[in-house]
Amino acid sequence: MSVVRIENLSKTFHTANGDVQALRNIDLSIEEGDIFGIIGLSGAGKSTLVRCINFLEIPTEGTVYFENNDLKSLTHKELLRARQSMGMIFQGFNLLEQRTAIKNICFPLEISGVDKKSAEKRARELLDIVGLRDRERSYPSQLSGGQKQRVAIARALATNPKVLLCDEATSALDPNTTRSILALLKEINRTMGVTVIIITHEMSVIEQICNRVAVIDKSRIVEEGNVKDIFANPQSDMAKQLILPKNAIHSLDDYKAVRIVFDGLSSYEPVIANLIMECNVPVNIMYANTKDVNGTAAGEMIIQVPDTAINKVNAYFDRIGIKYKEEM
Amino acid sequence: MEIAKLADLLLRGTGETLYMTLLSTFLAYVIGLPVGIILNITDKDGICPNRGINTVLGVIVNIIRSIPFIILLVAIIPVTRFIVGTSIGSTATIVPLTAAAGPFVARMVESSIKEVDAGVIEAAQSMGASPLQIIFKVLIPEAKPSLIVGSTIAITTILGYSTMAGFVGGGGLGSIAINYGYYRYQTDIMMVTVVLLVVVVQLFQEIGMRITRKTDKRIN
Repeated sequence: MSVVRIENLSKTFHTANGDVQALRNIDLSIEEGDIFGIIGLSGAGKSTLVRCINFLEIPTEGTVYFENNDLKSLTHKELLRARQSMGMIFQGFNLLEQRTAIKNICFPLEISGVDKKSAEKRARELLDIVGLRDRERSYPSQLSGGQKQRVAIARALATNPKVLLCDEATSALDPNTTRSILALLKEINRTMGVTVIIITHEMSVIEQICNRVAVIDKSRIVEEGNVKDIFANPQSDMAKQLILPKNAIHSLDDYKAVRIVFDGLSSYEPVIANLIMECNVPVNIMYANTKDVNGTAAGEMIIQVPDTAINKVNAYFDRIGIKYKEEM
Repeated sequence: MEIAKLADLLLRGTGETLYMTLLSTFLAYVIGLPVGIILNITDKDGICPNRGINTVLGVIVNIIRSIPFIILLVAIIPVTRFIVGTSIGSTATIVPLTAAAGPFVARMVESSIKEVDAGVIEAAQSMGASPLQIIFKVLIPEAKPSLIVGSTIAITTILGYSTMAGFVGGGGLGSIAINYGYYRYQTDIMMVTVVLLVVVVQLFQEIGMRITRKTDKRIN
């Protein structure tokens, strides 16, 4: 069942310099348990889109369904209650600076009318989950960026939301912290069953945790599907721009460039070495970006092989089950 | 004048000044705090934008703020008489002081609240907080250090106004300075009252800053 369904949504901002259309005819359906990524360059409209999901921005046209309720049809009170079922975290963390970590986590519970004692009990459970049990009395100014985002995640989860909206939640963090925050989000999705919607401009974020992705370009969704499929075979220009390496492909005469994608193959399998030995071809690696994710290989490579050997090479890839695409 | 008499005069003057200043500041906040909050939230970027209310309140505040205090002091004598029963003495001065300081405080409060990070307000909205909850759980607590700094400025400004009231029989250190120092050319008495005023201002400033440092959790 879809938790969030967006139908034909458009959003126009009226500014002093005329109308700006931030979103055009967006259709999306996000299923329960998804980790759904929305990727695009800055200014593409992704932040507006995520704010339309909890009606912080009211769409100019179209409908947003949350658990099959049309948000537009809700009374103000009902909308406030619906928002309590949607947690949100931000690039800038947005913690209350004058409250301790634990009081920040209690905040949404206070709003929904939970008594102080049960709120603090729940807040401590959440501090445990995000690994900050010992920092409950710290103020945000005493925490690092990653710790602040952990508090923000705990706060967003306090009211047991169905959906967690993440607006560039890792963009202000360094790569290591980003990885640990993404791992935490994945863990929360797995153990608590929270549907996660992630807005980002970084392909690596999508690659690391999302199962589905929508690519947004110039206010429209240009491509949508499983992350594996889109990563292996991007169709739209924007997806290609975000996924494919830049300037890596120069085809030589008599050579073919092939892009291969690792997703799920054992990282202990020496794919390129076997290719060389089995097909008896010289392989030139033009570009490689692969990593080991818990024993499986992830990432991509662009290799060059002689024209004459291309059929043999393709057959080899077919046999071992690796996705490939001849580039030119 | 004998020392004992002078000391008594100055002591009474200081007491009256503190009484006028503190009570007027309190009353100015009773008016200014809600008006400042309403000005902030009804702004076009506020949490309850309302152009009508914002414009009307803004104009009223600006009008009162543009009237020089000494003029306001005289102009509202009928109102003062109506409320207090007299237009002289320190209690009577509280009326014009409050009238002048209320709008000033409102603007201070408005700007303090404007300093609250828009992202934090958005986060509260995303949690389903109502506007009232945002005011009492986000805007005021988050702006508290700035509000305290503002109140320190307000209190010293009101203290300055209160001395002006000495010209129209207002009481306090201001009237001592004017009556003895200006009308009777007793410069020494005037100097003493000025020193006392400086001490009082310093005191308020220091207390205000200390409380701010203590309450602000952003500084560590």
